[in-house]
Amino acid sequence: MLTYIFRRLLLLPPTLIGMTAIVFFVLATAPGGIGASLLSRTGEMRPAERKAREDYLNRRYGLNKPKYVQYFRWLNKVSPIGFATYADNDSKVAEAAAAEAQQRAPIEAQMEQLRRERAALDISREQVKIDELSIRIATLDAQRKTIDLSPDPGDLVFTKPRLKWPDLGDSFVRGRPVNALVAESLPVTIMLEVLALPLSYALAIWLGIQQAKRRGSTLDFSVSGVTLALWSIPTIWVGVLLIGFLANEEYLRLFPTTGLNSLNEAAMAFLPSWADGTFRPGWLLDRVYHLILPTICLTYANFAFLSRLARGALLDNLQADFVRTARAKGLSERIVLYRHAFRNSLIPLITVLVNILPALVAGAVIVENIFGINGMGKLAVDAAFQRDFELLLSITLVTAILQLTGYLLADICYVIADPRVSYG
Amino acid sequence: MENRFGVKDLFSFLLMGVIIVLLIFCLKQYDRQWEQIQQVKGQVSSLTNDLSGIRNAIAQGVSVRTAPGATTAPAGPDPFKPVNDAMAMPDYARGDWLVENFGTTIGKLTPMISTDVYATWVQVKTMESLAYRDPDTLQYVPLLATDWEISPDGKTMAFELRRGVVFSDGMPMTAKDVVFTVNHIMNPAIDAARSRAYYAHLESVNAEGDYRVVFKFKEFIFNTFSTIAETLIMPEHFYSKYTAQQYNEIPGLLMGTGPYRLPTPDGWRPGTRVELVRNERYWGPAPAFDKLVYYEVKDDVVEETMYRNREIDRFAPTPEQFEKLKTEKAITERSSQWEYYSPVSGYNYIGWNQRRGGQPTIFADKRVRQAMTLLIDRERLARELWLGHAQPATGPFGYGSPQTDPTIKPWPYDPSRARALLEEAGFADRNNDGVMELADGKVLEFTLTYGAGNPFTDRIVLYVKDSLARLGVRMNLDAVDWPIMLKKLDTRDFDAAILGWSTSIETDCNQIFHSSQTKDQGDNVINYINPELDAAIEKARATVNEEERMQAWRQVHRILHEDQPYTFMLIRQSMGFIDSRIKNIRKTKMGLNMVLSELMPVPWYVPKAEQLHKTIY
Amino acid sequence: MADAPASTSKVAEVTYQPVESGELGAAPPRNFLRQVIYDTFNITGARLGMVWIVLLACLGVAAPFVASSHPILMKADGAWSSPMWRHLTPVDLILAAVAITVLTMWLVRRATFAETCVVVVIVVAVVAPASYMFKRTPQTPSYQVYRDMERSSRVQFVMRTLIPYSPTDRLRDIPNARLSPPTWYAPVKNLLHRIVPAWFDPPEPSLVEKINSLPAWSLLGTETDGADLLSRMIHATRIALSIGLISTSISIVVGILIGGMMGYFVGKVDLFGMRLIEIFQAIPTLLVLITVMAAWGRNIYLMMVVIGLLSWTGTARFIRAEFLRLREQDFVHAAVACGLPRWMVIYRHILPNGLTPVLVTATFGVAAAILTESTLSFLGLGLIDEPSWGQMLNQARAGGQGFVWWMAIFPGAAIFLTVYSYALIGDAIRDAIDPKLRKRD
Repeated sequence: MLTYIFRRLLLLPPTLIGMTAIVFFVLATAPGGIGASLLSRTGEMRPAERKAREDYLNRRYGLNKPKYVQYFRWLNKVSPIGFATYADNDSKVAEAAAAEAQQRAPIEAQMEQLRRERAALDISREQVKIDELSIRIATLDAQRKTIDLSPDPGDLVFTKPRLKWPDLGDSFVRGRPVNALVAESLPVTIMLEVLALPLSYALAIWLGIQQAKRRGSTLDFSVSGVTLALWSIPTIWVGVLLIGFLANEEYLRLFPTTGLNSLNEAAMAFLPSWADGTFRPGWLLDRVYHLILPTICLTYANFAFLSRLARGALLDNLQADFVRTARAKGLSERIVLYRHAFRNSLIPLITVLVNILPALVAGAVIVENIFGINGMGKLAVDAAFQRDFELLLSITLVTAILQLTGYLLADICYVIADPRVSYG
Repeated sequence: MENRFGVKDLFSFLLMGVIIVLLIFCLKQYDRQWEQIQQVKGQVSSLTNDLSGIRNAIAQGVSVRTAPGATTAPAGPDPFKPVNDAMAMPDYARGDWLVENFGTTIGKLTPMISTDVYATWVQVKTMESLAYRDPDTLQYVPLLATDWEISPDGKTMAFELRRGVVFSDGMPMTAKDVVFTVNHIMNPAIDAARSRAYYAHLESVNAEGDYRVVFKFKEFIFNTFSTIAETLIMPEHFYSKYTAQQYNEIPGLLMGTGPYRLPTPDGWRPGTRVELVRNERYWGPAPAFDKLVYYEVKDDVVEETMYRNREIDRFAPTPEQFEKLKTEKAITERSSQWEYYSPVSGYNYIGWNQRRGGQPTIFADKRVRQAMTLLIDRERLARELWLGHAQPATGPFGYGSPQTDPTIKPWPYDPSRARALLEEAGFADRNNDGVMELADGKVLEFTLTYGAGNPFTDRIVLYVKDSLARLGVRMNLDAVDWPIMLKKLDTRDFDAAILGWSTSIETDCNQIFHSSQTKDQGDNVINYINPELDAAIEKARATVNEEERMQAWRQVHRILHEDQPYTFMLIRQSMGFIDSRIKNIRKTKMGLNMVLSELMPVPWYVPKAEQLHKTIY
Repeated sequence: MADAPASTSKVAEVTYQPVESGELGAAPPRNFLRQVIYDTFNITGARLGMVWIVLLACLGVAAPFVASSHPILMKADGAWSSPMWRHLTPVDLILAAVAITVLTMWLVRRATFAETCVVVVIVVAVVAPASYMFKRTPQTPSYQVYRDMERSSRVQFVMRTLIPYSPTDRLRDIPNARLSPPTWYAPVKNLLHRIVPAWFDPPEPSLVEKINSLPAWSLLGTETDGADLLSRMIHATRIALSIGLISTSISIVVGILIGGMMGYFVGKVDLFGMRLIEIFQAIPTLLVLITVMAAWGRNIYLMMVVIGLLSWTGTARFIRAEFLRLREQDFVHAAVACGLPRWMVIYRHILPNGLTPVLVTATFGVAAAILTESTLSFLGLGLIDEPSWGQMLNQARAGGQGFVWWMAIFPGAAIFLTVYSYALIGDAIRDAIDPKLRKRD
């Protein structure tokens, strides 16, 4: 068992590297580039401004380096063992920069000469010649860039690797560390899931038992049909309809549309109270009120899926020999159902429960986007849209780690729950 | 199977879960209240310090000035004229809050490095610059400076600073702070590349004594003065505490000399609401509102509901919402409505690329471009998409700017004239496939590149597509994201693109139309080369006399109107509802007399009887 | 046995439900697939699902004949013409030809599946080049021409399609056609108000209704740009069906290749394959799709391919498990002993036996692909001019006009019904296969 776990853990890093590599290269090969995502949000930046910002970010994040270098740097950053990077004030950096400037100088002079030549030409008549000169300037520029001696702040110092705290990098677009962004968003998503999952489990188990009890009846069939239908309803549709009809000025304005709290939350007491003859809901009730619609959206599909699972598992067990034996012993149907069959049926449900871990990050993507809740899902989708690649990559990594840990836990749970399973 | 797990256990687990969640919530709430108490404590202690300072001063027999700014006799125009005028009104009162809404959540308030437009709203209320632009005269009025001198070659500028100005923590503002601000911007480790670009030609900045700063530049650039005048001055003693790394990463470092301040100058975190309180130590007349509160709601519908509930005081509706709410009594009774064209609101356009991949495109022919403009019914677009809250643009200058030639009328919608023009250019449907061609087989077909994700743009694009199709012009759609759009523009790799420019008080169209800007990623992305226009633009830029310069700009306008390098689409109106309890609102040349994104004194107030929010300390 | 339990968490959706009536006894392996199909469609739910999908397929094929602004037949200025024929695209023609062939084959003589396939391929081979070569479709259709002609009474006779609007006919000649509610809505609302005044608001028109009153008949209302919603929904069936089928086909092919190799070669190949599967399972599909769609433009075919390439892991796991089981069976040993080459053993002997369980993943895969497409369209990454259900659902709330109920209900219901149909069929297949799986334990 321990060797098994150890082997699985050993296989974890290659899997993670493989996965992030795929995601990275999808991002990196995207036209427009990853670097372009930081150039502008409004499109109003003047060319000089843009150039300045591009240079700054290239220097800081090494975006002008080859793709594999960028990926390796990111890996180095997130891994707990890695190389140090150059600091801004390193004396060696200054020396190298001076040497570089010296070597670049002749080429730059040449470029300046060509620029002056080009400026002297008349644009309306000598377009071809101007194009020619522009190409020559561009070639020289490329040549100039190949003389690259000075390390950027992000360049690695290849000495002995050291142990360090993993750093998830920075969000380019937001200009903040990913760690901080995740720390802000993760609790929100966890709260949503912590509400939705037990609810769907409780409902699903109850319904599964009822169905298994009345196996083959019309009720059983129709409930099966309904749960399958629930599974099939697109979350986006439910979200749009709930907001459109239940939280809309023109129809019923029963619920709030977005957010997790009313806007005046800061002025609220925690618990509901009566003051001056008016009822004040307080912060807690307000939060609950805001969570009703998102929770419904998150719960129904999960619940449908789980209840089918519960029913199947129960029916499986009800046909097993030990249940037959129990019945033969003359135990009441109630005891057979709850004591014997039900407990064993929990195993598949518990295995599914381990999926909670990745669901914490990815489970609420759509719901968060529809209801404007700033959780992990929304963070991830925004990052994908803005091509904020370190943020996206790090979220992917966090999700994947949680998911793989989840699988491992599932395997372990399985052994604990069912002694017949063993891993050689 | 010893670990028995039954239904009862399940429910007790659930119960435990609920209790834990409640507990966490409770702790969170407690934490929040603790923070509030800390804030109040901080305020009280700083006030106590002030008080003891004043007591000492009195004890030592120093005469207490009535207002700190009073000793520096107004050297130039009074920077607080709008506020003083408001204070002279009979029902003027201090108190109440002004509650606004950002259209998005903002990530950073720290000056120079914030990328959100809305962050400026907060910065211009908490920080101040050397001068500000008067919304009525559009001239610069001295604020933190009292006077300035500019050398004849424009390369040296000296600013005389106002005395007696203090930051919101009580420290005096001196020339050192101005120099620090500029050096801070120039520090390459600071993520302020945007601002840095405007100072790229700076040679040196020096303090001469405590109240005089001299800027030296390598060359003269026409917007240098406004760059300096509008730079928000940062307190050295506060910001120098942080390393470049810390400065880049801490989202809410905000302190200045402005009339409002953050409750704690380093305490704001993204996700919490921005609330500004009055700066008790403000050197000018105290503004009317006790607090400025900013919500962060993206959704139009939610914003509308908030305005209905009087949760926000100002609401910028979509045209649909504006038309709907305009007829609702509940809204009109308690709102003032504002619709105005602002000179800085800009225009949108379709740019026709005349040269792609070294080859002239179909749009190299002026007649084709004119035909395109004639085919797009801009009046109808304004009427149906913006419900009349927009009008066709005629040129690249701001609304009502003296740069425009008033005799120019927008091109009409006239398909038959367009057809005539196209036929004159040699286009006809020769192979009966519904699309026009030239005799050499060149098809009247192009791809319109536009930024994805904006429903209004989508609608315009589909409208243009349908309009052109009626005459046998085939338009393909290419919806792209911004990074790709920019790349395509930089490499001139597009046929036509729909975009917008914002305009200034006096717009310089050199960089979008001058032929020199076709090279090196300049903004003349459409490869438009017209020597006549080049000459006109150069003449306008070189003319010093304002009246003559305007005449020269009008010549530019006429050439562009005739040439149609762009089809100038629409200028949009700004619309808004403002709660009627807020008084002293009026229109100015820049829109209203308080433009949110510009630094200017706060002239608005709420009469005592109508005040809604009370500040409890 | 290293990864069997890991697979349980993923395969858990395959619940092992006994079907009392389905005791089939030991059917010969070759007929297993046929038996499963037979059993599947014995179940009412699956039949209903199939009916809906066949209906959609018919609508998809017949879309240009059912909903088009171009009249079928028209006499204008004394000349007869068929604008609809003129505007049919080669794709329309090919689809129609295939549909007619299948129908004829089915009606005239009950041909086998293989025979039908052959005939269809022949028909496509003839019709496709012919229509691409000879059919000249106008590239810039103008839809309002016919209405303009009618208004100026130049038309003597006109025969229109059932729904007289094309999906991209944005009714530019009718002022303010955008966002008009279904034509039946106002009368029904009035009636309801008269019956229960308390429950239903007085028939004061809402914002969007106020702006518009469409003079033409529109069964499901019009969308944000003025096009007829029903027409767009009908034309969108093509995309809805093809996205599911194509992306699932890709995922199955990839899954069979990888899963088959893993199951047959075992050892290092298997270990490597399992890592590959884990890697692909860990990739957040939605995020990668958003990135790809945002970067490479809104291209429906690209979307199909990416969905397919990211969702093959389930199939691969199934196939691997089946192969692992089958490779130890006697008939495989016999085949190897006879000296048959390896690839032949795999693809002739093992694959047909291992394929049936994949049907379940495939069916649910189609449903999931449709959901993914609609989610992406909903996030604004779908088609722009051409119709798709998710895009219409997105327009129900985006665009600054508030909530538009008919844009939310109808396309959403179409997505739901389609996904539900596939789910019903998949569920039925699972029940049909199930007794077999249980037998083997």
